[in-house]
Amino acid sequence: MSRNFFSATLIILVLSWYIMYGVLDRDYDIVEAAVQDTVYSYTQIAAKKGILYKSVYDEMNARLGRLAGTSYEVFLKAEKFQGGSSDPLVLSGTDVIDTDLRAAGYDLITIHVIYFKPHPVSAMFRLPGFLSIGSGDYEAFLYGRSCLYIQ
Amino acid sequence: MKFIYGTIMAFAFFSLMMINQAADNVSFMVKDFKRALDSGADAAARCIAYDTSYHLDKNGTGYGVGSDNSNNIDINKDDAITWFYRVYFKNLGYSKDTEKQEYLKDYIPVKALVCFDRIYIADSNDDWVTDQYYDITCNGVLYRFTLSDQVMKVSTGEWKRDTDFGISESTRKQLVRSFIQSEIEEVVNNRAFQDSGLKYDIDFALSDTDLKQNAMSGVNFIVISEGMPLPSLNPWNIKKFYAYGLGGTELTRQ
Repeated sequence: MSRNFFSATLIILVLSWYIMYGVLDRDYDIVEAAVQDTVYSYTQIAAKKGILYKSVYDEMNARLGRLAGTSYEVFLKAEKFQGGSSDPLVLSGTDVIDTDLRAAGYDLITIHVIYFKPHPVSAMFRLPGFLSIGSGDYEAFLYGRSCLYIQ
Repeated sequence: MKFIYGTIMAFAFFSLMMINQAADNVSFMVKDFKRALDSGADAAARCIAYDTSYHLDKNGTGYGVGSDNSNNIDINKDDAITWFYRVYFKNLGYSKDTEKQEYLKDYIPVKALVCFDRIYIADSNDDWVTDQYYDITCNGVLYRFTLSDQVMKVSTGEWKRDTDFGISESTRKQLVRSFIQSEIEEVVNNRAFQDSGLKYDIDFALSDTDLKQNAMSGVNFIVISEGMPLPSLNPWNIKKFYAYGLGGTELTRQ
């Protein structure tokens, strides 16, 4: 009886670990997809309008905050390529907000969001030996990035 | 005891299913690459590679004598490719990584630039393998078609509207569509990288009234990506990326 009990417990523990990993990974997939969709859709709005309005920017931040907390950073960049040069004139940060990028001749708008804290699934990658799935050094950060041509 | 074994079997079965789903980052990577492809194609079609207002102002009525609605403008096809790659790699985070860029370029066998009166197609090395006017034989006569109703009879160099030559609008659109399709299919089905063994059928609508498809009425950029291995954390789920990107613009005269 005790032999069966211990062996069953061991098997259940190991298999439960796989289940926990599967749940965390699926959560990461869902939230990551939502973050990327959010960044892409708001970049599309800004590219189509030719301007990133403050209200639109705040709305994007509100959505990102609801998805995975408020510990993230948003990088904004607008680029203007002049002549045949591959080095653009760059406008970055809050200067991009409420600036008529199309009128100013900017070609690209980029919104990049990255969360500071890794997703809990990262804990699975840090476990040593046979319990870890990856190399043991992988941190799963939530991020979203989109670069679009200003129409 | 049977209950314990039954529970263990249920756990084992359920967990084996979860293992197969574990570390599956491939699904959103596919979306990432597809968005990058679409964004790049959109930029290539819309880029200010041509000096639109200068050309239209300079050339009066534009392409084809007597044409009031000509939408022909100069296109710098190499700039269109540059813009495609620029936005594509920026979206993937490889704008500074030239080694990765060269690696990814090998998996883009076709880049087609559909212009007003001709089509350009580049292969994976960015060599322009096709530069064709829409010269199509209709009713035994060779005509040069455009994306508008302007048609030129090649033998005489005479420009008229399609109906003036006895060619209906639907026939004209069908001929141009088939021509563009066949040109792209010829390049893509003779591509260097044929690991997939896939044959492609290219199709697009005749008019914008088709709810499922959009017609080509301006500069369009079509790019096909094939067979790129997606890096995956799950050793049981190695996938390759197959997708196309389509960017288009409609030229209007105000």
